Amino acid sequence: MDLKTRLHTLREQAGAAAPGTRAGKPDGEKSPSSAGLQQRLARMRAAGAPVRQPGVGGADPAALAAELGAEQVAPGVLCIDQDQGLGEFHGAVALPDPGSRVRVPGLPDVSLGELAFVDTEASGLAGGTGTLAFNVGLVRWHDGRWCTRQYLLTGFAGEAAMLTALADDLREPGGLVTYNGSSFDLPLLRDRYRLNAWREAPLPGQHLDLLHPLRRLYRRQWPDCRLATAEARLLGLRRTDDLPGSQVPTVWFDWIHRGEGRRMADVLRHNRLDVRSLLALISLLAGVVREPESLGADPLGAARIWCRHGHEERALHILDAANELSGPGLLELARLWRRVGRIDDAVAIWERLASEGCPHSLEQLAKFHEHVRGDLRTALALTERLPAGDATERRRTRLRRRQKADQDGCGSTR
Amino acid sequence: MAASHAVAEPALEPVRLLVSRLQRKYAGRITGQLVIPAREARYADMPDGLDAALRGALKARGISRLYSHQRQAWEAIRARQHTVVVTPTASGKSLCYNLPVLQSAMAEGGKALYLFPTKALSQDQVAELTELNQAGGLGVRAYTFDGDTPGDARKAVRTRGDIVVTNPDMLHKGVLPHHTKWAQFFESLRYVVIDETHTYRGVFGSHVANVMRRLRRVCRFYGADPVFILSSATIANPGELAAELVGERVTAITDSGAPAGERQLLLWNPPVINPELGIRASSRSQSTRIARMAVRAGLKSIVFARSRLMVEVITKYLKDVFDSDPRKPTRVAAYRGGYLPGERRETERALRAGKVDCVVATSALELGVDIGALDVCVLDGYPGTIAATWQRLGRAGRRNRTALGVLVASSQPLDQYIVRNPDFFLGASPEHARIDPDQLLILLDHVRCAAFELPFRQGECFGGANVEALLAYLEEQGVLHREGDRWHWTEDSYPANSVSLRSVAEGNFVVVDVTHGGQRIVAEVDYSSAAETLYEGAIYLIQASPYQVETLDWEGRKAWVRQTRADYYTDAIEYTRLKVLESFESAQGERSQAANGEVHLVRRIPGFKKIRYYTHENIGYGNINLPDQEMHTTAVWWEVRPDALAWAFPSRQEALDGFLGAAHAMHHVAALRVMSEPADLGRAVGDGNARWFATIGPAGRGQIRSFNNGVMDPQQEQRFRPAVFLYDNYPGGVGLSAPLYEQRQTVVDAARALVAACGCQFGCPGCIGPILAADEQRGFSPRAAALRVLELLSGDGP
Repeated sequence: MDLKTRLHTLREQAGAAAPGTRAGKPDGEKSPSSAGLQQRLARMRAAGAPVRQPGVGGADPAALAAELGAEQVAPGVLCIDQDQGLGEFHGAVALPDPGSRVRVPGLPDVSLGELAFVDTEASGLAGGTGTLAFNVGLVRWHDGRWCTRQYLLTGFAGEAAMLTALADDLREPGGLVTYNGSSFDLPLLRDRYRLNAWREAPLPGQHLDLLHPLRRLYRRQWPDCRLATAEARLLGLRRTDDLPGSQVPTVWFDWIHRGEGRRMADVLRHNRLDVRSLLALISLLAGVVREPESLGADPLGAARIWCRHGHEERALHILDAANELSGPGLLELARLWRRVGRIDDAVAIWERLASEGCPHSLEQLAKFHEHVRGDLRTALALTERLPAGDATERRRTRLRRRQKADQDGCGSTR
Repeated sequence: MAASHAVAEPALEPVRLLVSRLQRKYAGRITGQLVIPAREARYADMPDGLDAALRGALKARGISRLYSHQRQAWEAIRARQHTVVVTPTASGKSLCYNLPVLQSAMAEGGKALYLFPTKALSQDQVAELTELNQAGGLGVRAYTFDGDTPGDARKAVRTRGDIVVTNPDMLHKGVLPHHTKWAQFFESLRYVVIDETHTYRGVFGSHVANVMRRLRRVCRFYGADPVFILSSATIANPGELAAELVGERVTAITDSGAPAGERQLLLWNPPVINPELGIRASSRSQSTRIARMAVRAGLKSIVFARSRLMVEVITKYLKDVFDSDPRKPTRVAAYRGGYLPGERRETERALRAGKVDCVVATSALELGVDIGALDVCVLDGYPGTIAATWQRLGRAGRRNRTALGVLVASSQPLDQYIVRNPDFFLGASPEHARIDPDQLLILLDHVRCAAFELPFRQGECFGGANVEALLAYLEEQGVLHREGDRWHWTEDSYPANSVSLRSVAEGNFVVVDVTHGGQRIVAEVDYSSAAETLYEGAIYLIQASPYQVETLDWEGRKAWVRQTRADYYTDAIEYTRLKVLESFESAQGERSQAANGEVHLVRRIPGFKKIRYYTHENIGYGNINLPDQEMHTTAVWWEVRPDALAWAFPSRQEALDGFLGAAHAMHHVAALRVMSEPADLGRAVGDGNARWFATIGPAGRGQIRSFNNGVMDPQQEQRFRPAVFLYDNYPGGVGLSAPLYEQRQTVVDAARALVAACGCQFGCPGCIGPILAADEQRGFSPRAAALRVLELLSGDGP
């Protein structure tokens, strides 16, 4: 049994989850083994294990570069630049003016021209130091145009050069815009810089992860908040023949193992659309948070964004102006009414929801009748409709006690 | 540091009272007694140059001088020697490493990584460091990092922790594959502390040695070269084991300067209840009795059982006595692997708080989990090694007061050998702990993980070995890609997730309780023992409550169980067919031969027995329908030349019985020789050609069978060459066979001495295995037959 067969067999016996091909008949051949690894390996070689030539396959970076319209900027690194002028469209959205500002609460209020929009394609989705970014795309405002630059590794040796070039590109921009970058792209880039002996990753100080505001605004409206969904719904961009994200590592491995670069163009296209969508999306966000319903967003999500950053009056305005509010949206509106002292408006909402059995509204009304109106009978009646539980029980006991005290007080008004 | 330098408390009368009561009532059962007198402390001064705040913190905790071994450790560690400290429980072991670690943290911002085999131990350690820290306002930050560390706290641990306390599994899965996030930590890493080093043996130790190779490789990447500080319970070769784990020479410090309270040890043999068959009362009945007396005397007790099953059985017996009233808090608790962590923590807390009077445990409690002071330790059966015996006995009497240990012998040969030869045990040195870091599957696993962490360079060594052939294999599998002089990771996966440090096997089984309609995971069972514990119909016990396995999904690695009220437990029947593939070395004797080599074995579990509680009678059988399990492993085997065999025995039946008896004795002696969990070593009798294997049939006689043809007649076989096989019970072997082959003569001689010296007539569980009453009529003594086989075998070698 050669080493390969032997390892196969042993792994299978050890319960390896995917049995794979059954390797050889266990009863058949004699097999080498002994205490020392060197001996075992020596025997294995004697048994004629195939020695595979490293670096086989038809990998030809120059041919790939030509095919992709790329330039080889360093050994193992291809670079593709594509410019777009102002007014050109991405989907149904015109590319924005670099001077327009972000204007989204919670994000730094800088002009779009100061930002770099970044997206990476990685060799694995599981994370960890064995995963690398073999394709990095970025969009910047450069020489009066929106410039999309993509780096593509054709070998591991190119990584250091690519990271250095990227660091150059990122020297000017004051902020980085990503989609889910705080969980994925940025940790990945930091890991890669660290592995290539950079003590600090040379990334801009500001980071704007668009997934977070989009999730707040559309979580209840969309089936999911993937970038492709946002593109389809907001940018009018429908990807045809798009490479699924899960396929991305395979394309890179096809190239590395077999020099098969056929689908590399698909990765680049996928990455290019991703990174341009970031630019188009951010230009819409300022409008969405101000008039959520104009672009099908959840007014409650927009209100929450404003509230989080200390603008309750704006949140109230958005909810009050909304054509349609969900139960939680109404509750939030009632909460805000109460905070600005318009208790009657709040009560009106609670009463409407209480009639549909909303326990939170029932509770708010019970509190209102007990503490504001001093109407213990109504408060108790509302309490009876609350779901059973310790809190309900305490409330009921207290109300009954007070009611009894009132009755004993015989006519004395509260 | 658990040992504050307090003066020993006066001996507690109840322990001595119990000892004298046992001696009075059961003199005949006590075959040996040992009194280890209290030991005086030896001190040394605090080292010069110790940080003043640290000195103050120690003083505040009542420590103004060191034990001699603590000072010795300080000197070695400060001289940058990897150091292993081998001293008893509660001897101030942790100060040996805490002192240099804290000094370095305060003087130079040096960081330290602490590894404990289990999470529970990590938590104890952090609590202790925190106390010391607060006592002196040291400003040293110690954090645990394990599966329970919340996501948002992890960053703080990585960047701000001076001391990070974790376990090998977490290092393997959570730290090393993400080492870039730990860059700051690794750059300043001065010390790696490995506590409970003796637990890193066998498969687990072989894995951990490889995790250490990966750790050092990552440290080199960040320019760090930490000093390793290890601590270990007593084993024969602590320095050697530590050196194998670390991969470099390690200084061993073995002379404790700590005081110790008096310790009494009794060796206990259950009374003979059937002299003809040499059958003794069961050890569990005796252990239960002693534990009962201890609890009634108001003594906190622990009973160590040898298997999870036995933990449950003994717990049930004790609960029947002490916990019969469900309205009262429970006084008896069980503790074993397979329980969920939360449940175990709960039991630990109850023990520390003194709320539980008696705990019944497996080796899971052998480690330094803090369970407070105990007075009495009962070992139900010999734990298998001398080292483990002392380790377990050490659980009683931690606070320098008189403690009692009782070793209750089971009917197993080794147990009987030990209680009948008390001088052997009381004078024996503990065993060697062995690991095999280059076990092929284990090495391959970690080469994969290491390649994920950092690309391999051509000519780079991993441990001592050049692993280029494995890299080439992984390259061929598409896992790695070679570019220039480096191998890079090229798979969309996270390899550490598929490598369990606790087994060679992959894929644990989960046990799902469906009693109350839902699906609740109640336990986990590892792949290698799933077949014999989770077959359909099996009674699976958790805290002595029986659950019956309803469905087993072998592929999906799941067993669905339901609570039941069965009054029996189940025991699997096992058939093992074995074929020699290659013999590496062999030694010819006059009439016999012994060899060491590779074998292929197939294990089938055709059915199980139902055994009633208390009476232990066999009340039925069930069938099991599971796939056969195959394994390539290494083995040592002994056979007798056919002509000599024919000459020595009038019938093949008699020879067969002799071989089965000899195998029983040899297996147990061998287990003593290679320090391993008894289950790590398997035994079989067969013809070595996979034609037939021998087993003991329902009538108590040896029979030969094949998987396809059932029972066969030995007389009809053309070729009759029975052999005794002792094999490594893991795919690929774990390095037990080679040392066993070296001791092939000793194994035979010791087994022969064991059988010859046995007081029984025809054979008994204490020598050649249980025999039935009918054996008196079989016309020959199975014990004599076994002796004859052992004589034939012992002709071999010098």
